Amino acid sequence: MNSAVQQEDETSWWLRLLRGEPNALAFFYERYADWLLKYGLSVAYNRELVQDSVQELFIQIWNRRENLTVPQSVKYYLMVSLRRIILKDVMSARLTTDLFPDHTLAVDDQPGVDFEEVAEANVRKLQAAVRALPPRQQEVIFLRFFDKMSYEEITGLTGLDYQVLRNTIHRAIKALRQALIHNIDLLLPFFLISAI
Amino acid sequence: MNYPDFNEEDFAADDFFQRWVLEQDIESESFWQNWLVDHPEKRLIVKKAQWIVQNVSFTETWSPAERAAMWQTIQANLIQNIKEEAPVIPLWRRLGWVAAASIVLVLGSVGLFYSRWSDQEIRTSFGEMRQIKLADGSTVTLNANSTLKVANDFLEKPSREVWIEGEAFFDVTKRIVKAGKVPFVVHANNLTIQVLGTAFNVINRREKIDIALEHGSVKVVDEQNTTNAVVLKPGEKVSRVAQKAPLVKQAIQIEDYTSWKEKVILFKQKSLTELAEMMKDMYDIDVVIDNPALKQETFTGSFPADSAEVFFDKLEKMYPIAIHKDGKVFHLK
Repeated sequence: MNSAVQQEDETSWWLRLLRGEPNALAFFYERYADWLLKYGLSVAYNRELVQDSVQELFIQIWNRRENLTVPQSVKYYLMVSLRRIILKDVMSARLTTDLFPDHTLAVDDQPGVDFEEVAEANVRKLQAAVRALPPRQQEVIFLRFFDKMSYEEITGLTGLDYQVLRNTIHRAIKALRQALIHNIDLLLPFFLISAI
Repeated sequence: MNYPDFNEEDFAADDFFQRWVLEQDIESESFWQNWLVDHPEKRLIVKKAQWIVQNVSFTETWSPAERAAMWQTIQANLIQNIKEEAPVIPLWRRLGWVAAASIVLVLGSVGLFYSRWSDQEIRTSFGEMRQIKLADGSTVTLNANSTLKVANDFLEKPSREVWIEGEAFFDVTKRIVKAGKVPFVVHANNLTIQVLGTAFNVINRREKIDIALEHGSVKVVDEQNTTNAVVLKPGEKVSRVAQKAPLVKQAIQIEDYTSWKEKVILFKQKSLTELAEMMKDMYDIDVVIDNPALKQETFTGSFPADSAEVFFDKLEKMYPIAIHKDGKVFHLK
């Protein structure tokens, strides 16, 4: 969908929300709950904490709607707000992070026979490595590589200095590369015969 | 930038390199393609960096049930307007029993099909959903008003072949015979879906086809022009809106295409026209939109697969719509 159209559409829904239409809250929940839960897990890997925070976010928006204005981007506004709620809870040391499920870490190192299997094993290893990163690094990796936000947008959202952001991404990539150090070379024969 | 000295780590962490892999804009695309021509010895390092950037994924999912439970908690905590509302008669009461009865979901039995004698055909009726276990261990969940055909020599042929009309979710098991993999092939209205071991959803209704991949990988080929082919990655779908139309690939939330298996029907930004078609295809409920201005209105939401009255109810609350039933037809005004 054209993003200008989507924004206009969202603005009118947001206005309905400010006027107190419950359906408008449901509209934003349907549209963004999944995405916020995913993003929330990159801020703090704890499903219960993230669920609570997303609930709190929507409750706050409704109960405080008299004081709200129309944001330029609802998605961005929701992400910033969710991040604040999660970090507040993390700061108060209420909860720790979940363990990443063990079976995904114990990826067998048997070289596969075809590209599909080798690639799948590598993807699983990479996923486990991402989840093993410190929280801040997970979040910037999510925003840059998964949400495809620009560096400028990420500094705006996280409050990280540009140079700090670059260093954080570099450190994260280094850790991911370390995790894949032997496995990724199994992909080389397939890279040789494929076009860029 | 000192690109010739870069290792894969440096490339993957470079903003401009990421732009090429993630956004493929013209500037970065032409720069990197040219750069590779000048530095062919860096090709493999670049490939590795590219692979890392592309494959970072966050796959945790949340079930429709979890989402629904969260929504209940939210609603319980909202400070409500004090304004008294007029008592509302539940819609299904006004519609009467026929509507409720016509959308009862018949829970399917799991049947085993050994197709040794002739082609097997399994058909579901309106509002019925059925799970089928094939002789190779693969399972097919067949949605309402759909037909699955299985070749008679399903296990003997070099490839396992089935045909689908309507909607189905396939969970295909890998099959290896004499150290060779046996492909699984789904035919849908002149499209061929080639599979090794994977799970995906197919919609083949009204000439429109929609194939959404949950995990694994599939290749979709146009039978009338085999150069017209698309390879799907998890979380992508390919669709074709009419015969001979091009195949279009796009990223999706896979739950939007698979939640029906959990008996939750999800809509995102669906026009009322599309919804009317769906009610007809799945429940044989006729929905007529009397006010042309409504046709392009969109609906985002969900309803339990076995109670379409919730759907009409939500619709009535979201829009200034009057719904009334005339014989077997629902009119939206």
